[in-house]
Amino acid sequence: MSEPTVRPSAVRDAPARSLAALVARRLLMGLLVLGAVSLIVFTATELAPGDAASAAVGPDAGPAAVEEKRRELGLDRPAPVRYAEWLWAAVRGDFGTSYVSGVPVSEIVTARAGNSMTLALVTLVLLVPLAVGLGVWGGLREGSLTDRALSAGILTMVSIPEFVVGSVLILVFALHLDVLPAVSFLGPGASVLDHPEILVLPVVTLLAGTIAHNARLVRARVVEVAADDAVATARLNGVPEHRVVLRYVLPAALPPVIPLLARYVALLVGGALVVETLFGFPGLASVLVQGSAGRDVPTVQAVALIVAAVTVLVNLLGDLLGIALDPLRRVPV
Amino acid sequence: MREFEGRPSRRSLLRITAGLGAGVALGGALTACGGDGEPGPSTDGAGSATPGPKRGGRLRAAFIGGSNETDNVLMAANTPIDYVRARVVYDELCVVGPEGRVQMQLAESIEPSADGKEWTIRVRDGVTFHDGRALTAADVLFSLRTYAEDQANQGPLLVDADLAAGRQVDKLTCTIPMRRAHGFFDLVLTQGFFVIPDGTTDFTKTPGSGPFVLKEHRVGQGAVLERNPNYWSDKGPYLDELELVSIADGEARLNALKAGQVEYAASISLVAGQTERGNSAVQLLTPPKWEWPNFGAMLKRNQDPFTDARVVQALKHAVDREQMVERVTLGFGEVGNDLFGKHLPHYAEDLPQREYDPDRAKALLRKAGVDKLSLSLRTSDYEYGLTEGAVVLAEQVKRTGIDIAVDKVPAADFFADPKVFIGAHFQSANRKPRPLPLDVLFFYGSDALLPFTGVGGDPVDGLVDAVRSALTEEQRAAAVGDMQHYLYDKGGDLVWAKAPVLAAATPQVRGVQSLGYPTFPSFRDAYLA
Repeated sequence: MSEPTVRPSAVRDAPARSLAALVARRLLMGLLVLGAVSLIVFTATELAPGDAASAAVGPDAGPAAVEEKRRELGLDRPAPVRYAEWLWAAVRGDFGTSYVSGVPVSEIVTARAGNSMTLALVTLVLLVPLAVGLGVWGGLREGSLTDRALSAGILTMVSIPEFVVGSVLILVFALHLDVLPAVSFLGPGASVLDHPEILVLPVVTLLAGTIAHNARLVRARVVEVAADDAVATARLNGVPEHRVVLRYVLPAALPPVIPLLARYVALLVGGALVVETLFGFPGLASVLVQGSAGRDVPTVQAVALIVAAVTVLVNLLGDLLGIALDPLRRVPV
Repeated sequence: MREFEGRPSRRSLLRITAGLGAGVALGGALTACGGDGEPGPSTDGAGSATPGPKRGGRLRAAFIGGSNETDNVLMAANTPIDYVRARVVYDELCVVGPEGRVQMQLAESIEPSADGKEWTIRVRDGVTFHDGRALTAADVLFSLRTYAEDQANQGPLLVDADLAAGRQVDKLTCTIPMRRAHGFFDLVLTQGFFVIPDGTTDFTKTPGSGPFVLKEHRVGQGAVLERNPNYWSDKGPYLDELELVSIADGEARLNALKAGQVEYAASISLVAGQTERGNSAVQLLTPPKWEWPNFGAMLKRNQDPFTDARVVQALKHAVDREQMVERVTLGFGEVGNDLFGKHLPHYAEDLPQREYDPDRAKALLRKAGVDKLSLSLRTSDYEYGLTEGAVVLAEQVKRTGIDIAVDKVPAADFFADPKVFIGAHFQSANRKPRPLPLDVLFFYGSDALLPFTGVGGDPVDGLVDAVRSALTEEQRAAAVGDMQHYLYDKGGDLVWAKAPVLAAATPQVRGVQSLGYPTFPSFRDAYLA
């Protein structure tokens, strides 16, 4: 009988394997979440008064027209049958056609999802360094005049609604100075990347609201970490300040903040309604609003699933990043 | 709160039938507001025909569109931008011209037989579709039959036409028998029936015969249209290119105009209109008065307490219409007189303006034996003016001792259930004008498609029949007049004001015509001065 041996490679692989298991588990959970979201969206639309048929024919059509439309759309069949059919098609990648316009949902949603994600990505790329920079800067000078001024500025920014910020930006940069477009519309066939200038004001408007929140989060963490003994010891040992920040403060302050930042991404993808309305930006949020008002289940389902999928993936990514940056959590549990 | 106009799709008879009527004086052109903000004709506005249209150029116009847009010509009323596009790509047999009478477009003549039991349509010679096919009477029959089959759209309007029995007489002529004598089938044909080629199966890629050819369309973004070099009329089109862009929010459309991104911005709020009144860089456009929507409320006459005519009369006298014009239409509108069709032919001008008279209202209620009248008014933010009017009404009637609770339902739910919407006891209305004979058939009598006020039976059904079967202009004027007199006294419509749908344009834009649809005007004769 030999004693059980532990192979060295197994020790090395353990964190990777537990990480893989975590990812697999989270992806599986994600799929369940998507299923639940689709069921909730479907049920909610069923419970709302009226349906796509009455919304489509409008206020001046008689009951006969609504009945005709209902038959045409297949809404006269039982709800479970309709949901099952939708689910079976969706699993195979077919999201159906809009009840309202008869256009394939993929056609309606694809370009707008791309626009929304571009908007979210550009905002995020600017948001992270700005929020972290401001948070660290203020946090390291806790209680100083700079910190208080910064905190006051941030509080002011948080309290100004997006549509006010956006309206002022339009007034100044589009109508008065005439250097940027007032409305971010795209001609047929054009994409956001062909006209990066249309992103400027929407991104700045989104940043105005989100930087403040995130900088506050980072600042609070930095204040906590800066009071830590390790940081004090490093400083007393004469470690240069930039190294203190990079080596001690940031690694400790960032990991808990990252998942919170990740949440904003999903919000930016599907929840930028004010910005989309204000700037006429062709994104997903307005599709969701129009679709819900028209009881257009296939369209609403597609948008809800895209936003839910982005939320699941980004949160997973945020957690993984948090783990990667947190030495303690890199050890398998 | 900002208004978000990406509302439920209104692929509805509302859009299709919304207010075709008379284009007074300027043939339905949108007229520019004067410098003093008074809407009215102007010599240099969009309605001006002098010094003559200039050819060439590209016009960009912003409309409400969004993810509900469709290329399907039969569903053109899905969003305003779809309808505006269809109006220049396709032709109709006829449209409503000056004085609310029929103006021919593709048709050369549309005439009834002596007894009104058959109508003969003759189309122009030499018209070709964008794919080169020549227009014939077969295309007319095919188009009307296609629309008639679709009960969810304009089908119900063609109920009296026996299209299956319609036949082509020669290349350009066809006849359509009626199921009962019909005196204004030509007026029915002005209600958005586009003519498409016989045998069309894919209604999303249907060629039209209109002044512009669709070059490109992207749902939710917009469309580019080029002038049709083979257009049958020697008058238009004047623009080389027309670009329609989709911007959901009214404020954003106006900003795009002011920033030079577009030359025309549709559906501007009255508040924005007030702000831009003095701005020389912005031309405010108002449609002719007959096209202005009617603000008011509808009472079910066959439900208590409205079965008592004195209660209804009391409410009509409890409304201060002047104040409604001031507070709800922000001074842009004019007072209503509890009737639809003001400024249209056959409108009962002889009826006196109903006055605000709280004492008389109180006396009428006393006579009816009503001590305390408490009502609930169903309303919504679906369109501007509904909730605003309801709130002001509730305030006004307090002076008469009437208590109105404003029951505001979400915009998307307002007409979601036809039974609730049509069956409502007392609810806000913003009704789009349409030629009076059509209006009568739609809303009154036992066969009404939308019996909002529950007015039917004797003598209403007889009055409605008289309107339908009137063959001569004199007969029609008399029949509509009788109906209006009846409704003024016994109807359940409260109409307190009319107010314009505003649009804005750069000072160079000319020749945009609303032709009955102020929210989606025709650009076929538009040009840049």
